[in-house]
Amino acid sequence: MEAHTIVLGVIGSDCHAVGNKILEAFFSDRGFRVINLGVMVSQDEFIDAAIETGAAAILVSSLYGHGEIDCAGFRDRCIERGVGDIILYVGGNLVIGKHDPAEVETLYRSMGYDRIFGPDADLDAVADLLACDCAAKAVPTGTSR
Amino acid sequence: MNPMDPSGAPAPHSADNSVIAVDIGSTWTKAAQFSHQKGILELVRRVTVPTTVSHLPKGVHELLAELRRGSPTATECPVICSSSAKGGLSVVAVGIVPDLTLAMARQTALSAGARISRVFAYELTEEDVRAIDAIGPDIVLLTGGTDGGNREYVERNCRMLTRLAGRPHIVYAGNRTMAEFAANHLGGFSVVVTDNILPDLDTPNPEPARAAIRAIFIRSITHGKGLDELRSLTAEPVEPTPLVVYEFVRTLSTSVPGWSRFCLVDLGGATTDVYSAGTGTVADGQRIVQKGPPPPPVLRTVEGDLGMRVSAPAAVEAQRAFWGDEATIADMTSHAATVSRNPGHIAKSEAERTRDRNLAAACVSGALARHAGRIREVFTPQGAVWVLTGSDLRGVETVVGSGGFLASEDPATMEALIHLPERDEQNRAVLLPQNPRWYRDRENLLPLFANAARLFPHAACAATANHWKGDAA
Repeated sequence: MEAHTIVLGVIGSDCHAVGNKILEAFFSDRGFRVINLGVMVSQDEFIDAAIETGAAAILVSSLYGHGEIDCAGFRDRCIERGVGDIILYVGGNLVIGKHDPAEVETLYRSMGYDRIFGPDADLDAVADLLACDCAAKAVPTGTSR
Repeated sequence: MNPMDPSGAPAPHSADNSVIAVDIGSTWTKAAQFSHQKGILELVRRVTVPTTVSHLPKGVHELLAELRRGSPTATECPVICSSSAKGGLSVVAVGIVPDLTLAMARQTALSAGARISRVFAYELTEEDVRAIDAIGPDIVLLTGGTDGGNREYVERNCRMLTRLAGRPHIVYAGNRTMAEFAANHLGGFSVVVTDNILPDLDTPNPEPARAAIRAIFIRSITHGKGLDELRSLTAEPVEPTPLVVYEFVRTLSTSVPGWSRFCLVDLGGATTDVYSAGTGTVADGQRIVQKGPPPPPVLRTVEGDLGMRVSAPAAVEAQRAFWGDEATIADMTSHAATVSRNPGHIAKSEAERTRDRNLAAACVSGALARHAGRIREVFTPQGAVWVLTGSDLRGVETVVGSGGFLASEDPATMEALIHLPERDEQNRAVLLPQNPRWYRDRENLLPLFANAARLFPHAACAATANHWKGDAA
C-alpha cells in the first residue's frame, strides 16, 4: 500500500524545533511519508507544500500559546486554495492558561480542524486515527480515467 | 551537462594552440582569436560585424575570413560559437505553486540559457493555451508535483497542452508518477521526459531538465535559426550564449583563487542579466530559518524591464525611486523615449553620456536588488530569529559589469553612481554585496572568453580574471 503523505510544521512565529523533529521521526516510523517544513511556518507554506506533494493531511503544531491567532482561518484558506477537503490536525499548547479541553476542542473545530490534541496526547493513538482518516479519504485521483 | 574537462587539458582537436571564439548577439556578431600556450590564454585579435539576421552564418563567415586573412594559425585553429540572436531560446514554464515547482522551473530554464517568455501556475486555461500559441515558444517546460505528489494539475495541464495549435518541444520534468501519462498524452509533440526538477521540497534537481533543454537547442532549434550550417565549422555545437556564460561563471568560481564569490551584471539594451556564484548563508533551522528551495550554486536572473535601449522607458518607470526627484525623472523619461527608438544609438554628447550613466546605474542597482535574497528579523517568545529567503550576496567580494555600456565605462565612476537599497518595500534587509570591488569587462570580451573556456576552461578563466582585474589596477 502506498504511504500516506502528511505535511508537518510549527505554525507562526514559533520556533520550538525539538518536538517537531520528534514528530517527524515518529510519523516516519509509523509508515507515513512526512514532509517536514520545520519551524515558523505560515498557513500558505503548509498549503503550498500540501498541493505540490499531494498530501492527505496537514499536521499543525503550536507550542508557544499564540495558536489561536496563527491557526484561525486555516480551513477557509485551504478552501480558497483548492484543497478544502484536506485532513487538518492541530496539536500542542493551543491556548494560554488553564482551559477546559472541551472548550479548546470546540474553538479549534470551529476553525475547521478535524482533530485537536493537547500537549499530552498519546502519539500512537494519533497515528492510528491519522491512518484511518487518510484511508477513508483516499480515493484514486490523477491517472485513473 | 556541458562537461568541461576538469584537468584543463586541451581537447585533442585544439593541438594547434589557438582558438577562435564567436558569439552571435541580437545586434552584433563578435569573434576573437586567442592563443593558448603553456596553459596561458591570450587575446590575439577581436573583430565585430552587425549581426546578419536574415542569415546568421553570413556574419560569422565574414569574421572568420577577416581573422584568417594572412594568419595561418587562425586558418588552422578550432572555432567555437554561441548565439543569442533571433530571440535566443524562448521557453514557457508551467508549474503548480508559484514559490515551489514554478520557481524551480523558472530557475532551471534560466540556468539553461533560456529567455522566459511567460510562466503559468496551477491550471492552464483555454486562454493560457491561446497565449502560448501567440508566443510560439521553442520549448514548454512542464513541471508540477513532487515525486508521488500532485497529479491533478499535471493531468489537467497535459490535456490542455494537447490543444495547442503550434508544436513547441515539450520537456516534462514533473511528478515521476505522471511521466508515463505525460509521454503518452503528449504523443503529438516532440516530448522529452526527464527526472523531476523538484523530487521533494528540499531537493532541487535542475540538471536533467537543463540537459534536455540544451539537447533540444542543439538538435532542433539551431536548425530553425540557420545555425546548424555552422556545425561543420565548429569544434563543439552552437550553444545559447547565456548557457555558455552560466557554465563559465560556475567554472570561474570554482577554479580561480579569489573568485569563489562574485556577481556578474550583464547590462544590455533589452535586459539586465545577473549571475552570482558561491553565495549563501547556512541556515541552522533555529536562529536562521531558510524559506523556499535552497539557492543554487550559480543563480541567473533576467530583468526584462531593465535595459539601456529597448527597455529604457520601462527601466526609468521601474526605477523612479532610484532618483526620487521629479526633474531628474522627467529628464530620464525623455532620454529613454529617444534612445528606445534606436537600439544601436550611441551617446553623442557628454550630456547624453551622463544620462546613460544614470540609466545604467539604475539598471544595475535594480537588477542586483531583485537578484539578492532577503532577511528579516522576527521576535518570538524564544528570542530573535532571522528568516532568510533567496541568495545571500553579503559575502560577495567582486561585482563585474559587462555589456556594451559597462564595458566602456570607468568602474569607479559607475561605483559612485550605483546605490544599492538596504531595505525593500516590505522593510526586509536586502542581502546585497557589502563594499565589493567593482570591475568591468573591458572590450566586452565575456561571451568570447566564455566560449574559449569550453575548450580551455582553466586557462580561459584565469585569463578573464586577469583581464578584469588588470583594468582596476
